[in-house]
Amino acid sequence: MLVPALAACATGAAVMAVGAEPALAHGLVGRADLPVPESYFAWAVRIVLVLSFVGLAVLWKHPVLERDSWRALPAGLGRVITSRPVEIVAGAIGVSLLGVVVFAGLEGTATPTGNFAPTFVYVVFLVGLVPVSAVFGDVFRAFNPWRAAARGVAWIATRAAGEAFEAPRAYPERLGRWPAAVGLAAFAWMELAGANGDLPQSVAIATIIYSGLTWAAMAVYGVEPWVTRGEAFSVYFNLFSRISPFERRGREIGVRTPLSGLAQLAQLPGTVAVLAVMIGTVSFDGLAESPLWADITPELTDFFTSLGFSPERAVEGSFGLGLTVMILLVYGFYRLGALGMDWLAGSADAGRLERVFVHSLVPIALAYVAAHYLTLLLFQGQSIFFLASDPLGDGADLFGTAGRSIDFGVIGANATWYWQVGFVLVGHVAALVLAHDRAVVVYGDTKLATRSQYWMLAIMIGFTTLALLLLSTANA
Amino acid sequence: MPVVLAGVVIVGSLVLFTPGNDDDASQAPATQASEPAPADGAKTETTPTPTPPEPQVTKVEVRGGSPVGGVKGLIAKKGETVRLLVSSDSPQEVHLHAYDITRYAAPGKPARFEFKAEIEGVFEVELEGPHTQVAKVEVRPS
Repeated sequence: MLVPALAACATGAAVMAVGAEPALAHGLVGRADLPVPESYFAWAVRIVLVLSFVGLAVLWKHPVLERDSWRALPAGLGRVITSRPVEIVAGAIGVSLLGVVVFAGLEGTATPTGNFAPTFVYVVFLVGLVPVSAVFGDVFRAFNPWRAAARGVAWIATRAAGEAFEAPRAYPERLGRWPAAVGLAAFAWMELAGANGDLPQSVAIATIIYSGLTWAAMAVYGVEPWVTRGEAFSVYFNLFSRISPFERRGREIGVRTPLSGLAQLAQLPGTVAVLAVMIGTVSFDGLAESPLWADITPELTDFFTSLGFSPERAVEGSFGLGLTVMILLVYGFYRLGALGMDWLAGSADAGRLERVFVHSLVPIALAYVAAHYLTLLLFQGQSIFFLASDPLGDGADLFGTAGRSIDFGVIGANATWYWQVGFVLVGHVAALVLAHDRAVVVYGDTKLATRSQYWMLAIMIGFTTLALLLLSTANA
Repeated sequence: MPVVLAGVVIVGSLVLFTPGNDDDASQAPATQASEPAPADGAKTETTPTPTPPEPQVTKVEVRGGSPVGGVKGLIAKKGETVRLLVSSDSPQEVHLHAYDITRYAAPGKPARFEFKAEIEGVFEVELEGPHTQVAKVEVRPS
């Protein structure tokens, strides 16, 4: 999505010693948000501080979210939604969309904004499905093309062989969610650092490679073990879906206390890495719009050029390095929280605390995505309606919507700022509630729990302030 | 003790993260696109044919495919008329994103943009061929 900006950097960096401009987010769009004004920033930070201390003062004695509160909805609705025909239709839609992305990417126009593939993958899928998951639950599971296709193949093979298949290998426990963390980081690299990441062809090829790897892994470890732990997007959307009050269990759909799904998250290895990638990549995308990055990147690029990289590779190198450093910083900061808790309240090793509290970062990750990509989704997301009519950009008009254009009037700058700050504040409060709740369980003693949370509070405030900072310095 | 510690961390982060004003001077727009505001008392004197104020035009010069002096920012308030002139020593297609305006520049014949700033945000002006950003238009709420 940064192609125009990258090209500008690559050609411009060598010529201009001064005046290098921050790359506008999403070259796909060529527009960026106005920075959140300082007064909004200052008020938001004050509100965060007040809310945080109120949170500590009213710290409850018994966990409120840890109890499994799931109750099946009155039978009927759930049964219909989870029925086999609905499952097959949803799976078929997912597989078809995967096919359209690959076909449009390979056969359609090379102009990113004129082709279905980049906008569908980067905007509708990666961003649009996030709020859908957080509100309605794990919708992606039903539409997951890799799961649906693999189940279809397994069903046919079982019929043909007359016996059920067993996965050749058991999923290695120590792998945990690490493959998902690696997958998400790889896609983030392509999107934010790769020089050709927003080209339709790149999107199609990446989709083909990822599909191949996913199906290979499913063939080895079985569909379900890979979907729940290894498949990057399943893990990504499932984490957000745990915020939702809706959850499917077996053939039932039930309601639960919002956020309580996060308390049920299995503490597998690699989960902290997944969250660090999720928060780190959005942070980097924000940083890449800031004057700070505009100052750093020419020097970084020069450094990579001096190592013998071509100008294009040098830009990729500096963006890739920035992305990696940001992910590691997010991890390091969270690790600091675990170490601090261990130091203040003792009782456990920091490594365990790190895993035990990681679910509290999910609302923060949601806030980062929601605030940073709000306008991308609201504006660029609209283009999927005309791209659907003309997926290849060759003048087709399948649904009669090809002539539409983006209505930039749907949200103004002032409303955007309020929503952005609002998302960040709500995410902060949700994270605090989850962490407090978990502390009560971990320490079993309100006094110790409170002590542990002084530190966690500082870490949460750090994350929230970083989010606000990135929103207020973008393009400043 | 922990309270003090948390307090120190929080206050520290507050101080660190509070944006300073030091950058503001350097961020002044290269050229203001806004027209001079009419004087409030102007109503009393009735001028039958008011001479329109000289419209301010932001000029960007492209040489060898990149903007001279780097990418310039142009700041306008919503509703104002933005005038932008992009001259180039080579034929170029110049595109303003979101507003989706394309103009052509050739040696001695600059691309002339004149439009009402109705969409808020920050927008790239780029050379369509090489995808080089040559200016940015920032439209703030009025």
